[in-house]
Amino acid sequence: MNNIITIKNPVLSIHDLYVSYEKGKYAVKNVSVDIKRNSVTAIMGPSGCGKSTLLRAVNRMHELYATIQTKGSIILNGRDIYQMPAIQVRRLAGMVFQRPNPFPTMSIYENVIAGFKLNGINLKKAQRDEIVERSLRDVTLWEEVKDVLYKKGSFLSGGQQQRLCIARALAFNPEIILLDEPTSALDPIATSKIEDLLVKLKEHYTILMVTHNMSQAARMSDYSMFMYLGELVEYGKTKDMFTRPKDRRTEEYLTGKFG
Amino acid sequence: MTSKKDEAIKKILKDFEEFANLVLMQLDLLEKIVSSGETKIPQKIEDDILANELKIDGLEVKISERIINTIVLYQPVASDIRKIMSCYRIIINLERVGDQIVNILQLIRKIKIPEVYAGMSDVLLNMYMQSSNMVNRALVSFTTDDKEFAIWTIKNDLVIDEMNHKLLKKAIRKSNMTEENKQLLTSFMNLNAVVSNIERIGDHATNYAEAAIYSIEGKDIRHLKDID
Repeated sequence: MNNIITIKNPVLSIHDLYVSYEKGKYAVKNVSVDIKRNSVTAIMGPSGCGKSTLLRAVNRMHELYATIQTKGSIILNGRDIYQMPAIQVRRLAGMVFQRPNPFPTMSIYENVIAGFKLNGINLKKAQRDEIVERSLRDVTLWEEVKDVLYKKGSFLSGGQQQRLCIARALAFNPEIILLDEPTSALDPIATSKIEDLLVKLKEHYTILMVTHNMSQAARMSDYSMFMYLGELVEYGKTKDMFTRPKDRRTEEYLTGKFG
Repeated sequence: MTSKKDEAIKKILKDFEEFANLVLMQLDLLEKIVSSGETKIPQKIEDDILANELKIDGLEVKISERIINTIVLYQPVASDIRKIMSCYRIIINLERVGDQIVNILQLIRKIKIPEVYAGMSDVLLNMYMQSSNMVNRALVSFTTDDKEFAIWTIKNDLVIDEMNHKLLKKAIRKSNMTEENKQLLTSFMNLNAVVSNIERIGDHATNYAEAAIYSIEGKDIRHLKDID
């Protein structure tokens, strides 16, 4: 693997990670990587290379499926994620998916603090109000929805729904935000707004994002990972990887020879 | 199946090859004049050089436009962007080589004392062949990805600059001119070099202004006679 940088005080450290969906067949193989704090890191690669599998390992989503086996270590802000309750890990590593998925029966307000309710965490109204406003302001949605907080989340446009989902993840002050192709279901303007938002959010959060859109990775990420057949082939600063990739496979992927 | 991006890059490199071959042809034509040691230029050679110069100017604009379109439409990265940006840098400088060939042609024609020129022609030919060889190798290094040729050209430049100045001064010293004339000649040579460099500053400024027009209006006015 061409790891051309050393990250000091990473927010996330993955060591020798393997993930298999069936015995002997690995979707992620021997991946080790450190993710820089307060940065946007893009995970790129052709379909089936293990990008989403890697991402879901970080918040222990694979445990929801009995057949998926994981081995290796994942350290989040100095703590082993396997030494914490899974539910705590999923608060600290908030996930946003490709298709916006606000809870359809809940209002905008309720969607933002849904995680607290579902985890049995009771909050006073003032605390709930503060979290909702802060999270919606962080995703630049507050001014658009402050007068309709009690309308259903599904009332919003696709781009607004996705921002609502990000707000839902931010409500817990996560240590890292995981995004799995967050804009592929959105129109170009909504995509642009999400991209601008994510770049802004890195001031306070760390973003780890799967994308199949190389231009998007080039536009908005500080660091890029290229995966192929389950392995991490190359990892480095985006501008270096896009101008002078070290590995021939990265070069061929970026120049469209495959993928 | 080649992508549209790859096709676009292929077209750029094909045009570049035609452009580079034209400049190399110009260098060959000028070599005939310099090696003859005569100030009288055969009309056919002069006509060919001037006709090729027009083609070179046109190709520079065409290739520049192709490069810009390719970047806008296909967002090339990695080795693709490096290749076409290097191509862009080379064509700008190669077009200037074309200009310098025409300038040399015109300067030789204006030499009033052919014997002086004839006396220096060996030295001039030697310098010319070295520079011409450098252009050739540099272009080969780009088209064949040959790093060794590129490094040779870069290292050779300093050596050649030093050697050529010494050779010219030596030739003047060894000539049968009077001491006063030698000093006069050397002084005028230096003065001419000063004038040339000053003139080049103006040329660069013109290039910047042409780039500004492109930035403002999207029009490439390089080599146009009427810019209004």
